[in-house]
Amino acid sequence: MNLLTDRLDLEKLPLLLQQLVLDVFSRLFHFLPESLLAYEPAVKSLVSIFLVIVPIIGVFCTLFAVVVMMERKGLGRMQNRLGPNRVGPFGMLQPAADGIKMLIKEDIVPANADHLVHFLAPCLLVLGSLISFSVIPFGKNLLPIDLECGLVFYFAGGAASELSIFMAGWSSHNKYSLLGAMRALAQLLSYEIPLILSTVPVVMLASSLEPSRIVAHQAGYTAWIIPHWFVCTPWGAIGFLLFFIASLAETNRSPFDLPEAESELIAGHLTEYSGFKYALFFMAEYLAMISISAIGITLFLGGWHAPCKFFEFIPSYFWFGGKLLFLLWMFIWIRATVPRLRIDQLMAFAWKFMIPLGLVNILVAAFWYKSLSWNFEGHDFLRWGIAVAVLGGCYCALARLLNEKSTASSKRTYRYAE
Amino acid sequence: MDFWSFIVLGVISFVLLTSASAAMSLSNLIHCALCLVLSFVCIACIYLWLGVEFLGFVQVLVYVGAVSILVVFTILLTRRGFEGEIIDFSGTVLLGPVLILPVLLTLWWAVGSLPTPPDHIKTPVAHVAQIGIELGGNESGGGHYILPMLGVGILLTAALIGGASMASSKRRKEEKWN
Repeated sequence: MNLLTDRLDLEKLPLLLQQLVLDVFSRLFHFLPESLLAYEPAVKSLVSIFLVIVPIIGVFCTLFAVVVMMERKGLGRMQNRLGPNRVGPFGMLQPAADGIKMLIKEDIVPANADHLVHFLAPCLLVLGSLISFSVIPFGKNLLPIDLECGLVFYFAGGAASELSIFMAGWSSHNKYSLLGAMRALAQLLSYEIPLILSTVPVVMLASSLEPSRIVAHQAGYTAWIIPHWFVCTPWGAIGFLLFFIASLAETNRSPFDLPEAESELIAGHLTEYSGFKYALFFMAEYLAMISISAIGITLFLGGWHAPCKFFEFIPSYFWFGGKLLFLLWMFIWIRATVPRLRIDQLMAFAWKFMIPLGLVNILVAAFWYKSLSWNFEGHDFLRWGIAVAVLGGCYCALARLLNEKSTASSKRTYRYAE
Repeated sequence: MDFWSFIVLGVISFVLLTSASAAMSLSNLIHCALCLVLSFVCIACIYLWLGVEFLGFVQVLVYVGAVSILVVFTILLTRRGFEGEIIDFSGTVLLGPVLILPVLLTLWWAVGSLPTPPDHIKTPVAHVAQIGIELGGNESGGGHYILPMLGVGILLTAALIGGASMASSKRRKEEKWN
């Protein structure tokens, strides 16, 4: 009964639920013959594994439907139209209708396609996206696996997405698919570097690759209202900016949605996919978007910590969910606002702007780490001043350089078309 | 080593050897590359089986994520078609077993000549933090490999900056060409 009244118990609700299910299983064993009792520990460990996997699949596949709905409704509002409003109340059942449509659609595989690779590609992509969720701390007591090198695990899981996009493009036996896949790969590889470079300062300052320790490092508040999140430092702000932009590109979201640019490449590596395989690609893209937002929250936005001391009474997983929905809304907002980049602009932006800025950011983080031991008067102002000046100067110089280069060749030359 | 652990190692080794031989013998180059990726994954699994998580994940990140993409890009950019071709076997293939035999014998001798560890010594548990301290050092010591670390760091950063500058210099060449 204390469950509803006591804040601590609400925080421990996931643990209680886990214990409850395990208790139910151990009670079930009392009704079984004694010869089966030897299997109880094995069954219990199996059940506890399922208790990690099932909620991840259940919650995030539901969130996928919610985000699709949010995106369609939100884009509709931003483009001055209603959005889906026919299926269910306010069109809320549209994702279910879409899912059923995808399920019952005919699965067409081109005659010359490599059938096995064509089938494996979407499965591998979904696997890679789902596996990344296992190391993210969603709440104080909600951490699926506490891995010591969880961050490396997360990025290793992302490696599957590159391979599966190539497999999809190559196995379709279609030149648009192959070209689209190669463009997508070039984009993913180019933006993976700034993505990882932007996380290096966090690892340096938290001295750990363990997501739960990175979150613990961001605990505490200055004057009860300013949280000690990494995003509230100069290197953290630039790091988060780089991370967010790179994550837009990594998940093929607008303005970096060239791999699926319908007007240029039909649909890139998705051209020859239909039915449920297409739905799997679609789902994997959204799951990747959710997981990359979740890791962004863990690294820069304080994980499950509340934004100020007064709100700590709200359970941690609500805060994590709120931040996640906010970041996903940012993804949707950007899609409605920014036009798509050209391929050369996309590559130039990664190599000539984001990577140099990421490298400078690591240097600034190293300076920040070394200057933590300063204790003379006004050291905080000096520290902030130097870091902001270096990062701001570098940002302006790189932006100017990039701008000059693009204006110098402003007269675009077309080699194959006039 | 208990029974199940042995079975797991057996399965991983079987998949590893099968995929590695498939990577050498399949006629379609892309299939070869994909089999090579599978063998990289199996090597990562062996690292995980040995309990060295960090190495296993880095193996996936570097080999599956980057090296395999490099391989498939190279295949696609250097061949006119992406159809498979039958690779003829030449007489030199018979040299293979002759060369493998001394290698295997040397390995057998090397492994056999190692002193057997006493039973009471446990496998050392290497935490990522310990590896980091050993490589880079901290206030209390370590840092025996700081110079090679710095060397590798500078080399990789130079390669990255080189890549970025090549990207910008290519543009100028193209402009001249136009």
